[in-house]
Amino acid sequence: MYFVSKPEIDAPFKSAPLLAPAAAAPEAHRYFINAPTDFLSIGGLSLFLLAALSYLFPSAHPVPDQLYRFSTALLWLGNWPHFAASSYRLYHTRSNIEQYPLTALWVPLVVLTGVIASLASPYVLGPFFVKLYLIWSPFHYSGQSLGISLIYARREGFLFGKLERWSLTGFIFGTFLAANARAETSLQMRSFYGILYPGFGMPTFVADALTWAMYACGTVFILCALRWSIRNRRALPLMVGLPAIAQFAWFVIGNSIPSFNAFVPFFHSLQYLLIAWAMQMKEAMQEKEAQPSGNFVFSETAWWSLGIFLGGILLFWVLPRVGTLAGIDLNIAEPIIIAGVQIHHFFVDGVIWKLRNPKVRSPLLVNIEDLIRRPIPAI
Amino acid sequence: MKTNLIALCCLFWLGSGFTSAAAYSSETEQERVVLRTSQGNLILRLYPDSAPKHVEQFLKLVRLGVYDGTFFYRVDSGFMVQVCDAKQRSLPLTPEQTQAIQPIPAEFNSRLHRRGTLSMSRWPDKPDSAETSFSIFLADAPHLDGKYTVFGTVESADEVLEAIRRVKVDNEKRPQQKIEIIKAESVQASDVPTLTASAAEQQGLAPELAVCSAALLFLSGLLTYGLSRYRLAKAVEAWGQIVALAGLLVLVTVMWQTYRQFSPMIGTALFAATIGVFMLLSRFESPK
Repeated sequence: MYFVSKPEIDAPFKSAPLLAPAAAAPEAHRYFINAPTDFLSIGGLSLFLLAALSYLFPSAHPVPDQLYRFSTALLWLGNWPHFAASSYRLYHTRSNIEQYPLTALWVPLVVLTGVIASLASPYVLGPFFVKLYLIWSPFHYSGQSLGISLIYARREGFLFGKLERWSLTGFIFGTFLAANARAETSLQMRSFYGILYPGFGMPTFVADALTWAMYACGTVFILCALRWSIRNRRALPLMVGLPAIAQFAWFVIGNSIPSFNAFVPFFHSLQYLLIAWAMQMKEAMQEKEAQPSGNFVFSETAWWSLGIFLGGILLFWVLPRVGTLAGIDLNIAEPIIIAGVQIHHFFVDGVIWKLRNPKVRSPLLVNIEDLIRRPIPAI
Repeated sequence: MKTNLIALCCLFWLGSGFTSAAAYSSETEQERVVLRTSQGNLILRLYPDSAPKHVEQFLKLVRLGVYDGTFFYRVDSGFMVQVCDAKQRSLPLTPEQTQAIQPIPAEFNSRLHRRGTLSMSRWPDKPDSAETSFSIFLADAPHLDGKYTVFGTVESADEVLEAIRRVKVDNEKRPQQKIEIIKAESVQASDVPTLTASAAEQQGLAPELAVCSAALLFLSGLLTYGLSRYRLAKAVEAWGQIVALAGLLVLVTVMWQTYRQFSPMIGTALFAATIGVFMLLSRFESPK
């Protein structure tokens, strides 16, 4: 999921003072579900796991195979369905397709061209197609983390001025830039499902500079948060900073814990699924003109979950095997087709989750109470 | 009668063994191993007649992908370059690969250690300890003749071996940049000509021309996007974004194919360009 960049977030907040006195939102509207569930989904679970794994399996400690197998199983349950969820959201109504015709109709052709070219040239073009996806992926994670911070800030009444926005953006994207630049200082070949691709061989001082810039941005944001807290006499709600903290844990601290790295895609997907679920429930309720009820939410959740689970299997398990019917080795088809599916996802998410669009913004402020309890009629 | 029958069977068995060995040798002589290294492709011709067990084991390991991700850990410019033990490669070996690695009995033969010779490495005091590490000689080494198993030679043009030789090394002859065997594969001798040329050469383009074309493609995408922000339709803007993305992909690929490594400055520029294109794509199909 990729939310908005600077100009798009300007519009709704333009009239707001730099740091408006904020009243806390009613309890129900501060979260999608409730405090513990939101906390765990948005990053809390990843922080707990990081603490546990860094204690049990520090960097030099051999990691048991079972742990890797468990993280692979989670791909089926979290990661693959989250890709299917974004495709479902774009393609399940005609109006969505008409709203984003380039993304819905032309981008798949562009990505397919890249996939076919890479399959035809797996040792020349393939490595860089895969590398493109691998650099894009954490960039995309960062966009999602920033977007989620903005949603919770809005729910909590923390209004972003320019300094807050820039420092938070700098910190969140800085975690990915610093970690990636550090990895790219090596010329060593690395492997993605057996496709080997080279590093850029960047100088170490670039990675160092990006790391310092990340910490500088983080410090500025903390100072802004302190100023806000003093003015409003309440601490900055944790949920506003949690995506940034989680991102720091994933890319900076977790980088040195090999056993943790395998779980990061799942945590990114968990964030996504919470948001996509809320959006799906709200939209389904409007489309079907259904009244809020527990039964509706339960049945809609069940169908949606089943659909995206099967969709995930189709995209990540079936599609690569379809490639083998054309005589392509699965070891080549799998990494390249998976990279293609994810690049398509990055395009789609960049378009469908623009907070400037009121159709997107409004459902993202929903709470489960809105979905299961009927409003009390006015007398 | 019974003795004659047994003798016949033995003769038949021996004969079939010789026939299949000859057929194997002939088939293997038509095979080549391509080492796709970060410095270019090396084509290896093997000597099944001189070192049949070494050749058989080497081909088996190549087919299983054991050499993929290994690297040249020693570059002695006046002597030889040596490939690391497969257990040292960046990717862990699979159980099947680990099981396939077995010590090979020595097959010292009359082949000489000359420039381009493939010689299997072993522990000095254990003749039968060869496993996966081997050397490619950069100069004649007569003092090793008959003491190490020669099992093949480099058949491709000298330039790749020369590029490996020129890599800077430290005091212990360890290369300062990683020279990786990205992929090792066995091919038929008839397929070799298409493998020795770089991708740019195969397309009939001079390497510099290919790099410039890709750079122009990338820049034309950026220009189209930049202009379209002001005057042109949304579809043209999207076209510019896609061309910039495709141009970047082609540029990185062609540069790697041409130069086989990125200098620190070029690497940084490509990384920055990649991030720039992602930022540009975050505005894909957004309202003007």
